[in-house]
Parts: sequence; structure tokens; C-alpha cells
Amino acid sequence: MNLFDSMNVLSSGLSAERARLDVTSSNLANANTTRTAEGGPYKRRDPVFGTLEIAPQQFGSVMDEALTGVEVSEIVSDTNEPRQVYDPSHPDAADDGYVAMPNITQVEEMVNMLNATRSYEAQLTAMHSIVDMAEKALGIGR
Amino acid sequence: MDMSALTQWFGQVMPQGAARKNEAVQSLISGQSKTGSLQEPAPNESSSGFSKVLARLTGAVSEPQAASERVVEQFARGAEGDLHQSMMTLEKGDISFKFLMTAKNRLIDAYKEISRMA
Repeated sequence: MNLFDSMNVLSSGLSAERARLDVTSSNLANANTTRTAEGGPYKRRDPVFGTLEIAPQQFGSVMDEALTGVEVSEIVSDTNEPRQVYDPSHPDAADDGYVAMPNITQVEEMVNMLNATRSYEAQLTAMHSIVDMAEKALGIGR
Repeated sequence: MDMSALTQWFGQVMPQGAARKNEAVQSLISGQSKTGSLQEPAPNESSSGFSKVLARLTGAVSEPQAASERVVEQFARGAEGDLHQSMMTLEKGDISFKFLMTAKNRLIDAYKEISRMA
């Protein structure tokens, strides 16, 4: 457990939030994609986070067990049914004239985006506090 | 004092400066001029306690400094990596360097104190 461990934890958190934003931008960009490599419309994606061991475990240190970073453990596809839009002129329309569109709502993606941004900011603020504390500590006795 | 992080961007001015400053401190303390560098603390046998402490300090600090240099180099080459991770590595180097400077100042203060005793 040293000063930089918490910085490493925050670093992993920042990476995770960036990954979340990356996935969100992919969702937003593909809001109207009807053709994908696996066939069918684009499916909304969601990152799943898991803990990441940061500090090498030292015997008897409580803090080492408490400090865990975060990592993207997998990206899952939303299992909701595709949105059906009636558009017989669309080349991908089924026989009944309905087109299967991605199950993406822009409002939801925007909320996710704001969430990721705020979380990123919170971690940067924590980071500033740590640096401030280190600089204050360097001033001990002055 | 963001000099360390800043000057990393403009080449390797600061490590050289730090090495020179450290060299000056060491020669001042041990009373002999020798060429020491930030990467090679190499405490020699004849040196006094002060320079040993300093050499150990520079040794502890040179790793974050080297990491900062690597990050800047990678970034300049356009290698993969997150911007915040690069910045964080620079910040670590900055804090370590500040620690080195603080410790150096304390040591010099102590030296001056002792030299005034007579």
C-alpha cells in the first residue's frame, strides 16, 4: 500500500468509464443500423464491470484487500427485441413491410453518457485530492 | 512547480538539470567533483553519509522519472494508450521529483547548519 496505489485504482476507474463512453458512442452511432456481420439489426451493447486486483497482496495488510480497481469484464448484447418500424420501401423490410431496427433509445444512451462523464469527473476530483494531499505532506515542517 | 512534467515535453532538459543539481550537491557535500547521473546513483565507498542518502533518494525517484519519459515518448509516437494514464504517470513522476527536491533541500539545510557550527 503506497501513495500511488490509489492513483492506480483511479486510473483503472477512468479507463472503465472511458470504455463505457466508447460503448455508448457505438450504440448511438448504430441507432439505425439494420445490417451487421452476425445478421439482423445492430444490438445495443452494455459493458459489464468487474473488480481488478491492483496492489500485490501483502501479508496482514487490510488496505491491500480493500483496494480493488475496476476493469471491463465483458461487453454484453441487450436481449430486448428489435424495434419494428413499418417501412415497406426499406430494402431490409420483411414481407409484412416491417423493418427490424436496433433496440436503442437515444434518451437512454444520453443518460448513460452523462453518467459516465460525471463518474469520470468524480474520479478526477479524487485524483486531485490525492495529489493535493501528497503536496501538503511534502510541506510538513515548513 | 510543474517544471518536471512540463519540461518532459520539451526534451530531457529537466533530468539533466536534476542530475547536474544533484552532482553539484554531491560534490558540495563530499568535497570532490564527480559525474553522477540521475539514472546511476552508484554510491561510492568514500562518500559521506549525506551523499549516500542523496544517492539512495535519486535511485528511488529515477524509476517514476523514467516512466514519465517512456510515456511521453509513447505518446509522441502515437502509440495506443489512454490519455489519463499518461497524465497520471507524469503526475507520479512530478510528485516523486518534488519529494526529491524537498529531501535535497532538507539535507542541504542540515549541512549548512552543521557547517556553521564552527
